Amino acid sequence: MTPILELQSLEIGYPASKDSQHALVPAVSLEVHQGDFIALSGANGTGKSTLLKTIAGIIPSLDGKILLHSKPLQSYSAAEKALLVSIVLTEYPEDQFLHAEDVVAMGRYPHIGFWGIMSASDRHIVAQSMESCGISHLKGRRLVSLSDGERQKTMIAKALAQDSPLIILDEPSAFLDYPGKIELMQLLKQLVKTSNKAIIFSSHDLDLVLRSVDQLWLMAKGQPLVTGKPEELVLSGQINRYFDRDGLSFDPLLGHFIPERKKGWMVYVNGHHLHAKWLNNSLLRHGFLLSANPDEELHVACETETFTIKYKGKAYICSTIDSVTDKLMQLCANEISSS
Amino acid sequence: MTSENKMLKQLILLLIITIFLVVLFVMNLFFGSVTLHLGDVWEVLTKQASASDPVKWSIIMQFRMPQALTAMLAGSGLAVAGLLLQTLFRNPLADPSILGISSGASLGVALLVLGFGAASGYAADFSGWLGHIGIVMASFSGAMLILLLITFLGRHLSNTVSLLIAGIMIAYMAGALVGIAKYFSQKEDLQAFVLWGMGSFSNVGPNQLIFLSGGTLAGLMYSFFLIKPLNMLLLGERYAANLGLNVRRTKVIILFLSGFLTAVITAYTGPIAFLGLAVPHLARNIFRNSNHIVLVPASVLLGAALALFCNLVARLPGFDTSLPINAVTSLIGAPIVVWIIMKRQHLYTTSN
Repeated sequence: MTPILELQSLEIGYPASKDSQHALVPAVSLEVHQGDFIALSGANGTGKSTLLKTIAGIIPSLDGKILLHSKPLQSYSAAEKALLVSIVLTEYPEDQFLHAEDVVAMGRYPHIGFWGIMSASDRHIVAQSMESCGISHLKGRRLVSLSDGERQKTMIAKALAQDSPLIILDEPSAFLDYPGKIELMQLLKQLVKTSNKAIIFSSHDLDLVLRSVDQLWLMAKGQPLVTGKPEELVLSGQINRYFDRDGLSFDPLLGHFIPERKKGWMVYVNGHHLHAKWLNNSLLRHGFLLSANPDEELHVACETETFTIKYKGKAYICSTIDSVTDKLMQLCANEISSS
Repeated sequence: MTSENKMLKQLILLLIITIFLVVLFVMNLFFGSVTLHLGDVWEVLTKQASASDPVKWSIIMQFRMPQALTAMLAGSGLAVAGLLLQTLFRNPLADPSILGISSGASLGVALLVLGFGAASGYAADFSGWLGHIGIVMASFSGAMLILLLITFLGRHLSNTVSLLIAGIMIAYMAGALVGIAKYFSQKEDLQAFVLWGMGSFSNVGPNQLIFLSGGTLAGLMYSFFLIKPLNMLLLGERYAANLGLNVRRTKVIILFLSGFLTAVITAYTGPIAFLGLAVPHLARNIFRNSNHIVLVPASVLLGAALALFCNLVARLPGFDTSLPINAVTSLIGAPIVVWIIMKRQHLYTTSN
């Protein structure tokens, strides 16, 4: 199967001055195939947006090649490119009387004639695109009156109506609330599955991408772009390296970032799955460290309704996560004052 | 509401506006310092020139008819120029005069009319055929000069608000240069220029109407070819480019076309304020639509109608003379813009 998109030693960035050019990251070589669902992640300012805009042909590359269906990107006219790549950006049209349906219909523009008159089949595709994104009921609404999430879906429906094999989204989850983000990921995944398109999106929301995508591209300033399955990148420690920030580290056990703490009381928690998870959460928030050692001095056993703290041969029974945390903090405070 | 229903509704609206336009046109033939009767107008329009009353024939065919046609052409052309610029800059305040294009036209005319007098030492006669071509060329060159400057700045100012501010500053500078030219000019030339600056639909005789209508109609027709690109630009330049639009070329075409329309019209009528700003807003709010397949024809019709209306107001029956048209369009256009801006505030919160 030939790849939809191929990057060969691509260098991205903005020309620093007339003579010197400054590439943001070392040359990138990659392939994207039909049905790929890819997240491009990295800290802010590492060049995610620049890479996506370069691939979409919005800004020129510094060096290297971008091949769309085995042909260089530059060899396509603007009209031909419109049939191969569609984009969804963070910016929205702000026109007062632009209706959701008009926006989606413009996705058909590369396919239709000079006057922009749509055939019945074009109108059908527009309706279907809106249906797929779950926004059929917003048809006659003005874009400015929609919520961020609804507007985002409208722009995605536009990209869908454009019917290109590759869709690129720049920070699509940026302005959405958390359930909105999950819903978006589900929608994109569904589109990849049913239409067999390739989708690449950028996001600095690592939590979200780890649980959503099949393939992750990681970028960090000046480092080579690494790719892999999310799980591989976590286990190999790449995530930690690529999101390097003082005082923070990625906890592979929890699947998110926690403040790095070198000192703190070690607590071993075992027992009922859900309660243990949220007790961990509370303990970390209060500065305790989680231990994997069952012989730890501080030990909490969780059951559905009760928590039993064991410390220096004594047992304390608590009924809420809050009281466990309080009790542990009290025990630690006593320990400090007695020593 | 299905889209077929919506289309029908908008066609009906266009038809209603066309009827209004015809009524206003006929009213323009009736009213003036001499009010004519229905029979008189009918007689002149249907009979041979020799068969009707020569005075009435002259009033209608040589004065009121060209004036009404000039008003329509100017209204349509300026409205479309405003629409083009508002869409291009995605800014509701863009219009030919605010971006300094009209000021450029004024500067060109000032340099020609006033400069000629200053250089030759006697007042120049610009009423002839050559003189008109000269004024059109001067107005057009002045407008183009400003346009080029704006386009150049547009490349370096990605922010459209900055570009707009730059345009306003350029307009001030052109105004200052006009002031200097005035200072050094002959009295007769100065009067000619001041009169030109007040704007008038009545300076175009039947003979010159050919040039005005040729240029304006060509520009208006071209704007119909831009419907699809204009719609794409509503999404923003990046989306437009992704939909296959050659944004840079389209920008140049739109700037050139709006500059051309402004230049041709301003040359014949003098600067006419607010039509270019108010009419596209009026069109959007009447049709509640952003699609240029509706907005372009709607701006043409509404622009013509509003200009005819302003022309009627300027010659309110009972007055011997007519008011300067530039003042009338400002008095009528500015409240329309304010009204729309006040209405806009609610648009964000109410859904339809």
